[in-house]
Amino acid sequence: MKNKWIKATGIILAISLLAAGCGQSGTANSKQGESEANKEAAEEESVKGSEEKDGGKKESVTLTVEASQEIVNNIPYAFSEENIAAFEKEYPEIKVELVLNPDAQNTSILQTKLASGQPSDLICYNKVSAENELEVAKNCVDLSAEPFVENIADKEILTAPDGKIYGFAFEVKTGGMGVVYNRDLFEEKGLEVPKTYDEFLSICEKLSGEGITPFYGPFKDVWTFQMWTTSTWGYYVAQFEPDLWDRLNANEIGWDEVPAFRESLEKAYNLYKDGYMQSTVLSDDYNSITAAMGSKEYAMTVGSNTTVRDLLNAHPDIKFDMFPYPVYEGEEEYLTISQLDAEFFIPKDAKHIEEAKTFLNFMARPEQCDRAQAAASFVPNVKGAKEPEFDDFEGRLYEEYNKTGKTVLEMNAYMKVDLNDLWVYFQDMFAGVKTPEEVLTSWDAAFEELMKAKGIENF
Amino acid sequence: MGARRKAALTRILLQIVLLLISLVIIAPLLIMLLGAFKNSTEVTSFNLELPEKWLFENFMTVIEQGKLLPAFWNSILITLASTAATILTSSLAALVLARRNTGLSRFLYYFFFLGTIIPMQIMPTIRLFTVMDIYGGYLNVIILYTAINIPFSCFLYTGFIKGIPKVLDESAFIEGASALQTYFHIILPLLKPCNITVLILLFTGIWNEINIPLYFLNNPAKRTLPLSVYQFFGMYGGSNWNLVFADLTLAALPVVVLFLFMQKQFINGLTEGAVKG
Amino acid sequence: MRRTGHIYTYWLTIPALLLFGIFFVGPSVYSIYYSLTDWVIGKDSVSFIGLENYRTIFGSDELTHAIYNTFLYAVIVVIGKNVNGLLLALAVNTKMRLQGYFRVIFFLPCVISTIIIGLVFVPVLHPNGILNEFLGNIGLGFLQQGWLVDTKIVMVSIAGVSIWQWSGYHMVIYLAGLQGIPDSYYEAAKIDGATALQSFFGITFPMLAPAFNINMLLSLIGGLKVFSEPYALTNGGPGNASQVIALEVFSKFGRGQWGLGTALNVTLAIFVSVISIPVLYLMRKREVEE
Repeated sequence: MKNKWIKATGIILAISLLAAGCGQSGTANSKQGESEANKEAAEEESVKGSEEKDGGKKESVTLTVEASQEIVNNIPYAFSEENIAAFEKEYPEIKVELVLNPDAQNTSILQTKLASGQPSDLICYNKVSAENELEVAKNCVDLSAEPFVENIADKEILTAPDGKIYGFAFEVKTGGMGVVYNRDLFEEKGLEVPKTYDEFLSICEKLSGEGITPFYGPFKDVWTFQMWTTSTWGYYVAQFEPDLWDRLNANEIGWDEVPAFRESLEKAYNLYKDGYMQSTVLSDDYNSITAAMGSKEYAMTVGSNTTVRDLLNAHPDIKFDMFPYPVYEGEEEYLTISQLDAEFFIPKDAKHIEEAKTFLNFMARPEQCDRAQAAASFVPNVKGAKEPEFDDFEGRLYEEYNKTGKTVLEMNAYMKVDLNDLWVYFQDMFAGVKTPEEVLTSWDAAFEELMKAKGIENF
Repeated sequence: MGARRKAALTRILLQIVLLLISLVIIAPLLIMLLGAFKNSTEVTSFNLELPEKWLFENFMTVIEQGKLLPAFWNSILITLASTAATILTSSLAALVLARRNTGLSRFLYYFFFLGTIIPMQIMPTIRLFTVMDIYGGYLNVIILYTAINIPFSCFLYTGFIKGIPKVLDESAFIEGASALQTYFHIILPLLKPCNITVLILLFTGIWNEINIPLYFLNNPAKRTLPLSVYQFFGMYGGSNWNLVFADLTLAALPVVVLFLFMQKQFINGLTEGAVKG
Repeated sequence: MRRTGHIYTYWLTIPALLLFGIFFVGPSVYSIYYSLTDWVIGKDSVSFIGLENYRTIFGSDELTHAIYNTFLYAVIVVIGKNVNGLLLALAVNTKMRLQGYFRVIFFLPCVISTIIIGLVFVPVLHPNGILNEFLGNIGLGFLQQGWLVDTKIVMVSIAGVSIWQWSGYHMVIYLAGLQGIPDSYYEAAKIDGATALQSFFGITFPMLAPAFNINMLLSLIGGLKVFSEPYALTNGGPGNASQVIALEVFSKFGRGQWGLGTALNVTLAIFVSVISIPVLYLMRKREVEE
């Protein structure tokens, strides 16, 4: 008899101590009791948690919005605190909580949670990337019939390849990518914005002669150099071979069979090899741009509107601006537009789908767009919303490129697979492990594998 | 004549060499600590110079912006609860593993040892917690940390208990004490140095772990202190290394303080448990 | 009232076994099945493909390179941590004024998160960072390196940071071994006229065997499972130059290639088991013989 006693006490003791460790006390004496106690503890805990936050309202719902740190920093208008406060005021029973993930782990965390049926109520992600990496068509709610769709000015850009609308984004994308440069430094040295590659090189030569490193390469991060290729390759295809993306995606042509791709890579690599970039390109990350470009030791770097805006904020005494990559000889340059970013999706497994829809319908009203302009200016995609008041450089880019139609969509917007392998090969190129040609042959092989794994035809 | 002086001289030389080595150990940590007090320009030289002006407000900025106080309490709750549960369960199990020498006990020893080898599988674990309906809260993180840490603690405890003479608990047992009574009255007091060792190893390990809270906590209000490291590096890794360093310092501080307070017992305990394992 | 069975009933192991078995071993065993499937994000059905994932792993240059890096790293850290740990332990075991201070300082880095250590070392190891500057200043400019960017030495640099952080840990274990050696042994050796070196190899070294074994085991397992160090220092870069198995698992998962990622994880577990279980077995066997 005593033996059984010992057994039972042992288990009870361990389990109750375990439960006590979580600030709960539970009594349980069987396996089933254990899981019940756990459940109870979890419930108590969540009730306690929401009580603390909402001052005792039991029915309140916490709506979770999950995004990466980067997207929240870069697209502040999508996460305007004033908008969230206004929403919580109109719907006092709903509380909005942001779940922020470290950039490097964001995709993995979102995918894991989607696959295991535990996603947040809303996910904010770049449109094309979400279609490929998060399988929006499979994992998220079709919102085509939601009231907010009627408010959208341009439905086309929100529409997924299958013709449905899975999310909402505030903006009609106008922001682009290009060469970010120190305009004061250019003026001081009497330099003009280069229109051709030759002009670009002669600027580099001149700056270099004056002890300034012309181009700052922050390529320790794997995603930074690709801004060069997604822009220049995107430009080349749009201008010269408009069906090239389709042909690459249908396996009709290989990446190593496009000489223009290699040309752009070689031109970038030569800048580095000829000493027009700092020797430590693989040691310096994107974050280091702020200090480097503020030091006046560098004149240009890769980047986007966000980069320019951040630089202007960090160094209010210096003027920074952006121009298109002048890579292909003698052609008129177009500004590269990035894929639509910061689109909000509702996962099918979300716990509060109705509240999430309420949230999007609320956000897609003109008042919210107007209010969000305070966080950062953007061209709203909602009927009746105010036009943005762009500051200096964004206004000029908007007038000069967007309004005249001199824009092209970046390459990444056409891709169906993850491009990380390609980006890694770019680093190999700067490390001297692969030539530009080898980058393209390796990528061609990796691309084929990835497309095959996705089950895409012809691969 | 010379022998003693030679020995004294060697000892002084040895101390000088060790002092130099300790500088190598401490220099990077000092760069972080001093950097936390500097302004954003000064800090970018990443050197050992003292700050021109000691900016204590860096810490205040970080605590406010990173909402570090609630995160600190979350970390304390999760770490303490997991540590307590691990110590209790693994020392009980180790008692059997150390005192019995049968095929089953040896099998169990290796079974637990497997836990130090095989990597954790996130996805099936999330599914399991979902089925049990405890996914997303403190509880599932605490259970997981306990499950993951049981193997190594068992390993240490088994070694340590073997070092306690069997006569002690056997005599208690002959006097009519039950196994649990023996455990609480005889073994547990004797385990004190080992408890402190395991406590520090678990506490630091769990405190510093950042992947599990990312995947297993679904409410940002429950997130732990070291996660702020990512947040600050992402936000200020270029412009404000002083704030990054202030945050790193704050994230490391609790474990460093704990270690410094208990270092003596800790080092004694670790050695005994590990070597006899 | 005669008791049956042993005093220490196996029931005492139940709480630990349940927690460990259900929440750790269970999901791991479950995942072995996934390693034999073509599970990727977005595919509606998961189908059994046998050992195909394993074939992919050993057929891929990138992944075999990561496996090579993992072993290279493990060898370097096992040697580095043990040599350093032993030397530090021998030094710190000598009676001296600052003994306590040294022990604490040498162990200190072990309690700090590797991620934090990594973030601090990134600027230190920058080509224009304080390490190269220091080497230049003391006339060792020829030793300056692109520590984390030169594809030939990046693994060594990462291992170096890990050795820096963990030598103190191994020192403590060796220290324990040293303190377990009775002084009488040395005295006897001295009377027999043994030199310091002779008594080191004759007494210290064999008596340290248990500490040596455990240190080998711990550093080996840690070395093969390495993740945080390259994750924080290089994230596998430049290019794939510092990829290791655990980091590849992480990036495969991050790209939705769950079947392949799991297979890689299982491969890692097999490597670690095959190497460390025999070591543990020998350790235990010798102990029983004693």
